[in-house]
Amino acid sequence: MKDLSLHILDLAENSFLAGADKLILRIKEDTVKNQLVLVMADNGQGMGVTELKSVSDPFYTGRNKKVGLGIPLIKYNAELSGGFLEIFSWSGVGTVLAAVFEYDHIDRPPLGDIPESIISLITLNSDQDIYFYHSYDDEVYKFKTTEYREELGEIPLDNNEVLQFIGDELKTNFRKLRGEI
Amino acid sequence: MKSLQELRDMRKRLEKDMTARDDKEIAKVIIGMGTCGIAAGARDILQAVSDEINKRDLNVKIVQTGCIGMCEEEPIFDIVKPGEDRITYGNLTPDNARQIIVEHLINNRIDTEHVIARHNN
Repeated sequence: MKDLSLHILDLAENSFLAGADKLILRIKEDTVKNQLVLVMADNGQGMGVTELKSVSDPFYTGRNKKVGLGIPLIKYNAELSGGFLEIFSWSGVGTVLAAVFEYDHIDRPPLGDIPESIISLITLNSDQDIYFYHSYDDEVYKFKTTEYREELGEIPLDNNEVLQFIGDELKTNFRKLRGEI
Repeated sequence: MKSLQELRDMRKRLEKDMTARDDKEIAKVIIGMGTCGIAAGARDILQAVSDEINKRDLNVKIVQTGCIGMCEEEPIFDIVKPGEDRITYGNLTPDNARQIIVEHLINNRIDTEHVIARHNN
């Protein structure tokens, strides 16, 4: 994976495959502590202890195939940049994944195009809700698909015009947060 | 939010469009969004495909699938038209993906250069 936004897109798929209809995505950029924290939490079916132990194994997969690289890849990237990956899961409740990176580590993957990944997730999972919280030191940006759903009523979120509207909103705020505009 | 008013105006406009428009779905595009697909650039393919579909105002549903075991051919998508074979295209780039969409969905021509599999539905 070239950047974190692609990891996010990949890992969110695990959540939706596990039957989640809510996904929380939190990105915390803390330049004072020199930390980048990525947290993803879902209300999918969760995992039992045995499965939870196996998910970091590249030859473990929950589906009918031979390998499962999503989690091993981000774990490797986190550890490579002075951080770690931790997963907590409760059967029937959901799963929380936290990846911590040293912010200015040379091997820390860049954030990448986070707005584009969120747009892709909405395009492909328009019935599920995404809660996105992005903080950069003291600044916080919040985005919730539920707010749009309320305003739009019957109009689906994967309508092209709606997606464009949301995309503009996400892109503007993504740049605003880090003082680029 | 950018502008609540803008969003509300859009809702009104779209609601009118929705009632006016009642055409059938002409095809389904299934994009491989497994780890291998994403690592190979599936997100850019998704963006290109949805852009092309919207630009030409085609009623096509975009859905996703996971890894189908042909990781070396990723990015991959399938095009399924009702009553026709399911065609799998591989080694996509945003440019050839756009071209395939136009050829297959509008001109009804299968771009054999990029076909990697074909299934009877």
